[in-house]
Amino acid sequence: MSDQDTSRPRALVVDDAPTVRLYHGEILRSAGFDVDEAGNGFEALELALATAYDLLVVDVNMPQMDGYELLTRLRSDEVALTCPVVTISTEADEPDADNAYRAGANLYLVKPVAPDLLEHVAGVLTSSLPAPWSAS
Amino acid sequence: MTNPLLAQFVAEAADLLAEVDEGLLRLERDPADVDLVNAVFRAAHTFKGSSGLFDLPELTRLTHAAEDLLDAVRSGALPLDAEMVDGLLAAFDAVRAWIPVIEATGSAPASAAATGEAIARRLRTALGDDAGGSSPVTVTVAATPVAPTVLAPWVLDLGEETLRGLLPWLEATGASIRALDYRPDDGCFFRGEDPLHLVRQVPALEVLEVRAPDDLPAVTEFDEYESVLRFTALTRAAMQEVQYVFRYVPNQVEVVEVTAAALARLLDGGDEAEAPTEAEAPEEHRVLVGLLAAQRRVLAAGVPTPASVTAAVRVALRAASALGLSVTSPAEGAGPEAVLAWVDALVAAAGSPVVPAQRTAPVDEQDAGAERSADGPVGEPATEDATAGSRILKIEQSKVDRLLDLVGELVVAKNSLPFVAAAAEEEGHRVLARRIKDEYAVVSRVSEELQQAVMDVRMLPVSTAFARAPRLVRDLSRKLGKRVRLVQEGEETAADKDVIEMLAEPLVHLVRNSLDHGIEPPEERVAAGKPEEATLLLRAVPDGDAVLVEVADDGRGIDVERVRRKAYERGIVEESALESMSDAQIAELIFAPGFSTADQVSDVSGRGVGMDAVRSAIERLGGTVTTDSRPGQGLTIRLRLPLTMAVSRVLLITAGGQRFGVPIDDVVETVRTPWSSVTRVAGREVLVLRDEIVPLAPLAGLLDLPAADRGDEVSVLVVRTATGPLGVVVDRFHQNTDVILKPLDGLLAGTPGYCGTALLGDGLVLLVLDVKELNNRAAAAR
Repeated sequence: MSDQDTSRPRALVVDDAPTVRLYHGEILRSAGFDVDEAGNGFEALELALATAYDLLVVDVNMPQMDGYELLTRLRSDEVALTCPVVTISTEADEPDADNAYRAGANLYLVKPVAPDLLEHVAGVLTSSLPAPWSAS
Repeated sequence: MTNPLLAQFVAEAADLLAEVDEGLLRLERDPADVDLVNAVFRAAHTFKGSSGLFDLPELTRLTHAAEDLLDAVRSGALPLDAEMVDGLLAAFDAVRAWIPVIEATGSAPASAAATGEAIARRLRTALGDDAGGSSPVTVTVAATPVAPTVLAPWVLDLGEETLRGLLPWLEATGASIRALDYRPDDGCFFRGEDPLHLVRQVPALEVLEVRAPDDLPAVTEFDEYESVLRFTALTRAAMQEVQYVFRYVPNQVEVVEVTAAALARLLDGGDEAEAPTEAEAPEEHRVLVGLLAAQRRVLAAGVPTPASVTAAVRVALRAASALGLSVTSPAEGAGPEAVLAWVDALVAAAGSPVVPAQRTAPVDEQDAGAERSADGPVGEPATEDATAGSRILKIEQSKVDRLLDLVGELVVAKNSLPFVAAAAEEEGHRVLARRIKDEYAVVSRVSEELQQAVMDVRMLPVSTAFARAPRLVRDLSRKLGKRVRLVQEGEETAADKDVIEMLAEPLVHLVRNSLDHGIEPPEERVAAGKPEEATLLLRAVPDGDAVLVEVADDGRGIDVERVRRKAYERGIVEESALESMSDAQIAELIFAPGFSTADQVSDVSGRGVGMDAVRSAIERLGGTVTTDSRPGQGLTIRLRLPLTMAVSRVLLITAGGQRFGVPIDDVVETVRTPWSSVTRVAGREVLVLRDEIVPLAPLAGLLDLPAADRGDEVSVLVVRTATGPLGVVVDRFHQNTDVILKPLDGLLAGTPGYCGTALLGDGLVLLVLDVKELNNRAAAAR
């Protein structure tokens, strides 16, 4: 997917810590993504409603609207967003991962995420789909 | 500092530290404030998360300990006490001290481990952790990746002899070393990458081999802009450190753990060696299986929404096809159970038991949360945060200043229009003159609004200047054994950035002074019938185009007798003068240079520079300082500061045939009165204005200019000075005007009597008078 410059995949990185945002953003950018950034759930919700992202990378613990709440809204019947979402949290506990999956995350990773892992996962999650799923 | 990620972290750290400090101090006062606990916890949490991206184990460990303690407070398990706040403050003070070193070197100072450990233990003790000594804090370290038993053949490129020399050491110590193989992309130079520089950034490099391909093309075909080099290296640095160096080019580098056993096998029997891609394969396989398992969890968790199901199916399809499984999509519209069964089948086909991996991130396994209680409130939706959600644009100050300069010039340029109108009128073009005046009114209004808008950009809340007070009060009151409650009011009052920034230092002096001299020890307060706990009030109030800042305490006030005695002892005022001074005048002496009433110089204050420095700092800002002492009741020090320093309004006057400006802030009033109303007191000319005696001084005389002839009437400019009103006799008054005051520079720099120059609309350079100096000269002349 990296060599097609006609349609670069687009990702949204959501984290309240600018350093972490920069880190995740740079990994994805160097992997060929166009990356937007949001500092909290509200900003992310706004952006995700307005833009068709191929991937969301979402922090869990954020002010104003946390990652779970953001995901729950995105996956709700009203929004019905189906793009893959990776949550990245500092918490390594099972209940946290459970909450993320219940909210509709496709992967729960613990900070700090190694660059090659994120790049690999991002690549798989945005690879082309076999028919007929790619159509919908 | 070349690393943008680190630069970002340093900037973020400064914000977080400020947030933590303020939060903790407010929290100590109001431990029940849930929002505050949450805010401080969040800052500590963010700190830990961001620091984990760097090789800063000391920082991560310490912020983690702080986070755990705050988490316990947040969940209500522990009440916050002063001891804890001390520990937390110490922790973040240590972090603050490390940041500059981290900024410069990329790692914490050598002493950080010991310092951090001691503070972390203190925090752990407060938390009630038994194993305080043995650092139970699990650090965010990259997991020791399982060292491959079979090493990739490229490791041999490092030189068999070197490797054989390494073997005994590895065997003896049981340690491992990292070998890396970096093959920069052909076009890396075009992306501004510097492969050699990059590889040299790897810490603790033992061996570095740079290789060119054996089959270099002929010189004629050789593309010198293409990178063909390959780097192999050995390093003692941790896996995470190496990965960090190559974080932007992770796909161009391969890093392996080299153990003694694996190295021995590689050196002795090359036949077992596998291709490097195969050595990497299991890792990728694990990630993909992890992805499949994760989708299983999505589908099995509660009642997933249709969107969640669709997303999970798509991810599972992608993971399965990446695994090379023959994929059959689940039936369209299948229910969650059917889809779950389908994913189960995929997981089974991937050849791994259906055990959702505890963590699906095998590369960054860590125990960061291992000892956090399972019922930690992390999963709760965050409560509404106090942080404003408005969008903020960060702009370099120089850009705003440039804008402000331009607006200032516009304001001045527009002031030329009335001169043009006057010229037009003189030449008989009355209609034109009128039109110019009308246009002037419009331009004037728009430029004033524009100026206001730009000023607003530079406005900062006074809270920025108040920020240091809580910590100062807390630390000082403990040190002095006094009990002080700090109250802040009107922190949101805004003033220009320059004013706010220069206000901080004088405020510290005033707060210190109040705690040291004003506020009594508890027993003395009780004896005087006052509450044991003193109150120190910091208040900011907007007042027209100025802002009033008050530092008020309910201490003993200024002891006039003591000040009188000290002033005499220190030779600040002559004995005879002292006797004729009013109490208020005596109280003002605390601002005299070299004055101090402290009987012994403490390390808090008492060096006799404080109040003098306060006054000069405030006056430099164009402000004034007044005191309101209520003996036995308290002292209020009132600072009156201009909202902005950029554009000043001056009154134009003529004296000795020259035009001058006087800052309008210094002007009380202008009076034209017959000479006959001027009387003499003790041989000096004075004017009695509303029962107040205003000494007169001719401006021409003060400036050594030729005096104009005395007419029937005298024009007196009454200005405000530290010693009361002064009547400056001038020839004529003109209008008020806005100018950009520029300090005297070049040969004129430091000329006494003038506070600066300004360019007038008609092109004339105006000298703006320094009223304080005029008053000194008038006093000297008497």
